[in-house]
Amino acid sequence: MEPMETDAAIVRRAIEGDERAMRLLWNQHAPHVDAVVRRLAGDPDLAEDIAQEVWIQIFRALPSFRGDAKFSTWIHRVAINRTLNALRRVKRLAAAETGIEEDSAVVEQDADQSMLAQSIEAAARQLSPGARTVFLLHDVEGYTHEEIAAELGITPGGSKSQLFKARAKLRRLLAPLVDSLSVSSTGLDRSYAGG
Amino acid sequence: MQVDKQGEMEREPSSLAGAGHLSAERLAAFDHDPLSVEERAHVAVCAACRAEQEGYVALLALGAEAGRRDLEADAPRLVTWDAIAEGLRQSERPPVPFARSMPPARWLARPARRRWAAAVVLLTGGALLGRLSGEVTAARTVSADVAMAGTVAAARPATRGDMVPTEGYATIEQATAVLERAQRDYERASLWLAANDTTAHDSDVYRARLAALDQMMAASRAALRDAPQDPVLNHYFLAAYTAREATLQQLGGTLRVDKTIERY
Repeated sequence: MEPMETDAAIVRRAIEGDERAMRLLWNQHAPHVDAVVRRLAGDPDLAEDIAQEVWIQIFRALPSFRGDAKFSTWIHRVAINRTLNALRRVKRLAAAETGIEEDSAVVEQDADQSMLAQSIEAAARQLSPGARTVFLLHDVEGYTHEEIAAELGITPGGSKSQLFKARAKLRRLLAPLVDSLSVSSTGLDRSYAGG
Repeated sequence: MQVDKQGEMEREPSSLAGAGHLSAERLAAFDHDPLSVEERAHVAVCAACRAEQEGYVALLALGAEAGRRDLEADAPRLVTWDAIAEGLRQSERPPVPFARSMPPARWLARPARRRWAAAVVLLTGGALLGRLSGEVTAARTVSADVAMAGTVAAARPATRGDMVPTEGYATIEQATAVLERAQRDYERASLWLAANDTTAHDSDVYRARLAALDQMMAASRAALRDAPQDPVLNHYFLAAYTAREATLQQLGGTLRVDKTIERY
């Protein structure tokens, strides 16, 4: 039996135009990339609309994969970047980014602010697009404020400000869920590093 | 200390107003900006603020967990592979257009295709070279069959169990696999013959072989200028070089002891 092919070998074949290798990469990483696209898009229909474009961009970017990081890490980053690009293109982020530095009204005014959410994804959908993006990139995807600033074209300080406001809003929207977790949270890891 | 003395705390303002609690945003920043001694002292004695802080810890745990799991892992894919492949074909600057979608006239225009074509030329040339020596060994029959059949598929030894269609291939992958296997077979047979074939030949056979090997080296060297890192071409160049050295040694053996070869 032949040994399992490494990601790097599959990527090499994909770069050379091997459709089978490209499909293999898609098969292996689609669940994760789809999850990233769904999270950042927020809207299921929008996620479907941009997924094809994101994947095409990922395959176009393949030659830039140098193999000095795990492929899953690389494709995660590229998926986020390309999803944000796609979202910008459909102008879903444009309005939020325009005033993100001085945006004090984090929550969309037409959202039902009293509605409690059952999941962090559902709650995040009630944030403004800019605040939601900052929250997802920092607290979910693990980006630093410097990386977020570079990605969104804002300052690190603006990113922090948006994050704290977003957390405050989410804390309120998720009160029952969060409180139940914090009550029974003796096992929770509380040693978070600043970022 | 950033405290909410005006009762501006967003959560449960009625229960906390005027109590000097930490603001919601201050508590939300707990992992970025550690609480001061004064703030910690307040949290230590204020159950409401302590609960709020624990709530933010739990919120961050929820976020981190969301990042670790793939949302709805069983959910249908957002896009099918067929749609992605079609999108790649239709995109303006496809990085790697699939061969099956390319018209025949453009097939050879791709450097990779040219390298494959060069490899096929080398393979066929090598097979002809194999015939020159005129010896009937099992390995050589493999090479001879290549030239006679005019297809790389026939280069596979008949003893192999896996059958290959002789009139065509179902997929590019199948044909490519056959081609690669034939190349490996040919290289192995050539190297083995060069090193082990002790059949007495007259020097004309060796000279003809040397001439052919030199042509193969020149062809592969030229191809390597276009693709210096191509493993197939490098393999061919080195194989031809090794065979040439072995042939020179054999040719030396057929010459009278008072003769050495200087040119051919």
